Amino acid sequence: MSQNKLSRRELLIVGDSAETWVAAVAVVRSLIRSLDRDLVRITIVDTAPKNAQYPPFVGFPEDDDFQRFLGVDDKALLASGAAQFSLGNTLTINNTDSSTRGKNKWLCFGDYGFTARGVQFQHIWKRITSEEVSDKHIEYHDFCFSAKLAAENKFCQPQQQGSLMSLLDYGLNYQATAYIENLKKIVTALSRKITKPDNIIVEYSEVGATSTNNINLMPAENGADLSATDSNRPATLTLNGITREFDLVIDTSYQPLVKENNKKSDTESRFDYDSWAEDYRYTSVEVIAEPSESALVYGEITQSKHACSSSLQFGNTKITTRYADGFQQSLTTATQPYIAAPRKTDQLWRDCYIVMGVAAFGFVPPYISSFNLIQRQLTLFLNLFPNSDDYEICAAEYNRKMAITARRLNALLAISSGSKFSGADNENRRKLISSGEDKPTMTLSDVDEVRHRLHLFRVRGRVAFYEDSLLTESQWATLLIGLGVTIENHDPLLDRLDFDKIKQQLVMGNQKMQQMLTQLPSLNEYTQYVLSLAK
Amino acid sequence: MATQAIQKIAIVGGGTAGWMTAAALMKFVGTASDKKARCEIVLVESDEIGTVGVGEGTLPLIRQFNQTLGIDEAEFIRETNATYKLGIEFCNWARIGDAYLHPFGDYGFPVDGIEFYHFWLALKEKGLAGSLDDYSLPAQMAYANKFTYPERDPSSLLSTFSYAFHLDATAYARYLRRRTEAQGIKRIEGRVEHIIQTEDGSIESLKLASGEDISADLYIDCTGFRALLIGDTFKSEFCDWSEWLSCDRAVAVPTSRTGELLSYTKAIAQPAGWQWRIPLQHRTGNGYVYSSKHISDDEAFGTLKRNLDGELLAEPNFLRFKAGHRKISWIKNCVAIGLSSGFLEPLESTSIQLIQQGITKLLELFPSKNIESCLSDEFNRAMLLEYESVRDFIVLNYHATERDDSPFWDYCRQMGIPQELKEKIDLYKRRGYIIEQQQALFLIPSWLAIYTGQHLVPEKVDPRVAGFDLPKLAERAAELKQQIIDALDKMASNNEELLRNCAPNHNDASPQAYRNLYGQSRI
Repeated sequence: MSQNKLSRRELLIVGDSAETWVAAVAVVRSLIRSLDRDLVRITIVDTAPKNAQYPPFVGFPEDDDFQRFLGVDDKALLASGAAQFSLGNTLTINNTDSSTRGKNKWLCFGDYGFTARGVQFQHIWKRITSEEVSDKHIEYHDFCFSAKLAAENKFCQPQQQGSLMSLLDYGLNYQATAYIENLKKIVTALSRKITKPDNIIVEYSEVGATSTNNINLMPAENGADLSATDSNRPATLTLNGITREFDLVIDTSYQPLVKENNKKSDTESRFDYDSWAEDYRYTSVEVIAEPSESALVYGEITQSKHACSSSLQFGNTKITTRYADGFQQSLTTATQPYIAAPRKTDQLWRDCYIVMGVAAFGFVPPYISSFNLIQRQLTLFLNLFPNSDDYEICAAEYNRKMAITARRLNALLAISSGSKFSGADNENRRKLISSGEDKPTMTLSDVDEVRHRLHLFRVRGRVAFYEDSLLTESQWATLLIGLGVTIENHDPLLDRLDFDKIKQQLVMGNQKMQQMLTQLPSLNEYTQYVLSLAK
Repeated sequence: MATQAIQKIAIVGGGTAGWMTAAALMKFVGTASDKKARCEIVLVESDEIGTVGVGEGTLPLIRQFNQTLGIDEAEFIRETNATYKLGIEFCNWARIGDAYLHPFGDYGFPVDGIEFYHFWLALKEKGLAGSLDDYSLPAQMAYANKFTYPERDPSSLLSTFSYAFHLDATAYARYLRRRTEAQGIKRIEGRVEHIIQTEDGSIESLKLASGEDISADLYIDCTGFRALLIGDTFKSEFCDWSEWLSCDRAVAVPTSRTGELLSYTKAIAQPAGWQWRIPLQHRTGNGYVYSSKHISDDEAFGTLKRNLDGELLAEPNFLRFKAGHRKISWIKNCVAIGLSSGFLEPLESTSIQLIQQGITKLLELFPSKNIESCLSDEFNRAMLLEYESVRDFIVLNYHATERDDSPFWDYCRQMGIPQELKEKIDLYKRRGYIIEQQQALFLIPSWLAIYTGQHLVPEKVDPRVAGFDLPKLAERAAELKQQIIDALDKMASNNEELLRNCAPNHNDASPQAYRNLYGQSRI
């Protein structure tokens, strides 16, 4: 094994999105020792316009480790009202299908009911609703403790196993501006801790970058074709008249600074829906802030045919993010939309240039954590952090894994946008959803993820396994039920169990939850309690 | 209860696959407080048809299977003459004369999210670290012939490993048979002569040689290599993997026990394949897996005999097989589990694990009478992924050899390999990065064990390592090494622990099984 070369590597993180600073902190933290030993220098160029109003970060329970790694000061953000505990979201479908229009479902974190001898709760719920004789429809979320708290705007953090409180789970939503300021402070603090603080450079440039030679980091409309430059290392960036060279560039701009290679990918996709599926990406986003009276412990998602909106209430500010996909192409009433231009996945990492964040996958839909995708990209990149002569092999693996993530995202978006897949005027989508439902047993290479996921869940209430899924099994079940996918048959193993006993357990569980609910604090009370502990 | 519920299941074939399937199905569908809700399960097997009977190594997940069935571990050990297993030792695979262990556990400790082995490689190059096994508790336990139960506390060194068993597979099947017959399963002695199908191709009934007809709603093909239902009847295409796994024969023979009981399997590479040595309480299981293109049956048995420790206890059992997998293992109302579904040689003790995986998937996707294609799609997809991932891991063992002392090893060294595996090896060799698939059976520690044991040394490692104070890390690694040594000093011998833990009146104190091969750190 040869020794890694010890000359200093120059790394550039550039962009105008909120992910720019998430990437900056993650990379700085991960390379802190290398920074201290003068093995790496990181330049962060923030090209965001002043007073940019970014979509807020929607937090999920699984973000906790990543937030701790970043070192975000949650308490300070909570105190200023820029962070908010969240038990999940409501979902309202607003499409042509009247059977689900307007129905409010809770997509909450934490447990829904319980598993009985390996039989998941959605089957128990299905059987209960099939047998239900009263007029009152029993909702899936009726058995979710988090949903009960959320409905009353109450909150408490989960506690140890064995107690009712262990059924809860939560995330933290963040107002982007304050969160980013927090991240900037972290970078500053980190630069002060190392013996070579000059190895972390931060610059702001609203104008955008111009360059000469090699990689041209220019705004897209003036961008050079990457394929025109064979020897793409080092990259150059000219800023304020100064040209510097870099070994690696992470571009987190909404629209990549280097144009995509127009060559068709050599890798034939197994799934020919890739080309239209990418249209489901959210490429247009508008952020509207308005006053509100109080904080809410949940977000509100409204899903339409080609658009989606997510509202979060932070104390006295309500922030609504409106997303539109490639079919809609733009928000008709948007005053100041952000437009993203996501790239093909085999071009996310080309030589020394890597596109991350919105430019890789579009805007993150509110069904998954805002941090989930950027965290995946950063974690993988850092684990594949290249030596000076192994870019190609690292990039190939990175793109391969990201292609898998892209497929998972495409499927999620196609499913959520399709909702009841009814009356869609999009021919491709209708064909996709309805095709293959009566097909005979298929081999692996023929199975289409969207069709298969929907079919399996509808027919049996089972979540299909796919590598690198963006949602857990439980989250998928909750989402599909929330989108109105009706389970036709419960798990037959349930019929072998004492169902009366299960129903009794549910009733008792619900009663205990209701009793516990009365003792729990409101969101505001709990937030104040947490802040008082921090003092 | 829904009228469309499956009311009768016929399992065709006994052996480990048949009786494991029977036991699991009895647990989940064969017993219910309401008799009307119970599914009738029958198992058809013939004493005339032998079972393969050589699958004797297991993986730690067997414990999860047993615990799900409510099997007392002490009783299980007594009934199957089992011994503890902490890993597999590979001798002569990369070079003649060397040996390494593939342990059931993790190595070292991660630092700032960077896997330990990157540091180990850097330290080793500077002469600041010992062998990789020095930092693996199960490896040291195996070599010192010590044993103790793992712990759940992630801060404990004892949480960094797991364990499995060597067992008498025939005895295991017999044990499961006794349990399930006591629970109400009906065993039918007989051979299936004809399979009657409906118009749509589903199986309507089985006709036995005795003239008896057996009809069921669901049929499980556990007929082994014969694949009577899935192969002969449904003609499910067999994907032949023999270009990568060229061994197609095995000869197995038990010998008397000699010496102390070891807590690992030995896999000893031979000129045309490899020999296994599996320690049981009452005997040692031996076998030679070989390529018939490179050696005859007599020559193979001769090689095996020359390399046995104890006395022969039976005549040799010769087996023929082809490495590969059914493209589709679930067709209509027939599900293949075990060897009928596919075969991968027992190099990494995956045979019983693949049976277990098939059973688990079947229960997760348990159908009603109207068997929906999406269920079988999901099953087939999951099983193919599992088989392919295990296949690639086994192929690695063969391909990453430096041996050139026989035509067989020349072939293995030079053969083409699956593209995904090639990419994995290339990435490790170039950059020291181990690709890991989510929910795969073999994770980073396993791949690392084989790469290192087969002398694949990366050209470069994670460049972030250069930022660390290596002498300090070397101290930390040395501390871990010493902690392992100290922990071993407190452990009883493997033999003592085994005898104590399986004593008839011993309360089962075995810990809850992990869902992986490595212990707490990889959850």
